[in-house]
Amino acid sequence: MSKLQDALLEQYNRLEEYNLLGDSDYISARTDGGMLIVGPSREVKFVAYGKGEGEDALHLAIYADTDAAAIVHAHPGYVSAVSKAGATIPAVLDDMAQIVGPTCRTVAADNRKVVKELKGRNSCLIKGDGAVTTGRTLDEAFTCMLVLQKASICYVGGSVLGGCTVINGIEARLMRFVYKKKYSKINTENKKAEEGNA
Amino acid sequence: MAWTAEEELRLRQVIKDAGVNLLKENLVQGTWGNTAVRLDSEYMLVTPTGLDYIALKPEDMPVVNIADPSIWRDGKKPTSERKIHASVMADRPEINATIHSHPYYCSVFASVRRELPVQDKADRELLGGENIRVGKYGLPGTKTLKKGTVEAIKGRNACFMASHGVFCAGKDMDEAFEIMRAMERCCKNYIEEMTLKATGQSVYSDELLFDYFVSRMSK
Repeated sequence: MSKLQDALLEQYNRLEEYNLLGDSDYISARTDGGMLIVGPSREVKFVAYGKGEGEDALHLAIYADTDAAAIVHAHPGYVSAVSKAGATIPAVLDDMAQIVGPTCRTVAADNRKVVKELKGRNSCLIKGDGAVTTGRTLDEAFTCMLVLQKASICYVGGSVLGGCTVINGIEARLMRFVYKKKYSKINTENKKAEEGNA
Repeated sequence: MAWTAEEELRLRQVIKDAGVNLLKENLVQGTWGNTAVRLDSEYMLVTPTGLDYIALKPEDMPVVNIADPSIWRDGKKPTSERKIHASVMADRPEINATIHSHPYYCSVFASVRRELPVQDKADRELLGGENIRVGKYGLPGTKTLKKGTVEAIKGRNACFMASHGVFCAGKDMDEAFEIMRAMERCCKNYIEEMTLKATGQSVYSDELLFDYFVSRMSK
């Protein structure tokens, strides 16, 4: 358990390192009977299924209805601008298509809508409340947030340059398929072992 | 082998140091991006695939054949993007070091697929022209992406790779690094300038850009 706690704190520190830290950011990992979660206080706590409120309830609801093993809910500046606008980010970069998917949509700040959006996807923007990314490992959820921030920088910054060119839908889906296949079960299992959540 | 063992050792360290410095200056994220240095007209050293720049050791860099990058020896498995580095080196004998990365502001231009006008005289000299072109879009690992990059960088020391990133080339790694730094700075400055033009304001802030974006999206 302490290895996973360390991994959570390490990923939280990476939010700061990669300039992804906003207001009230949380990272969690699924465990037996509930989850471990860390927020701005940097204290890792265990929350059992059925016990959470507020931010905890959002994470537990995602774990209950998806196969996510880790969640990042963060508010980096550019991501927050897109969520405030209620926009959908299309595939503006290859790595967005691969790691985030062909689109990332904004949903209302309602746990049920967030959970519904995350079924079959590993990211969504929450209207006025940053973004949630999920993964099979903490590293995968973190990387998804990092790429989402880069795609947001392109989408927002590109608005003063005439707008981004969106990658063809078939090519975007192909890249996503290849990435998911390449990011193999073996890699995921290795990462899980490193993070102490095997 | 037309280079000495001492020279190869030095160049292995050059690649290692470049990776660490790219990370330090936020010009690369995680294990992404890759670099290469020429050993002679036939061979180059490149970064391996998917390795952390901090953990990377000088001996990890494989020696790759420039004419046929599928041939490599020593070190770890080379980056899949070695073909692009090899093609640029084959096309440009004066180029001895190349960097491919995805820094944030360069990525904006890559995603818009728009040329960067180079406004400052010193930057024009460093980057090799008045504009930085965008290569034709191609899926990662394809000949289209490779050819597009080689075409777009002709007569220049940098180009954008459509919806992908940026490619920089120099006579040595110090120059290639300086070019990467200048590219990110020029892209950032131009975006800020265009934000001021679009909003009619005189002082840039990220919030100004965010507000412009939100108001534009809500129309």
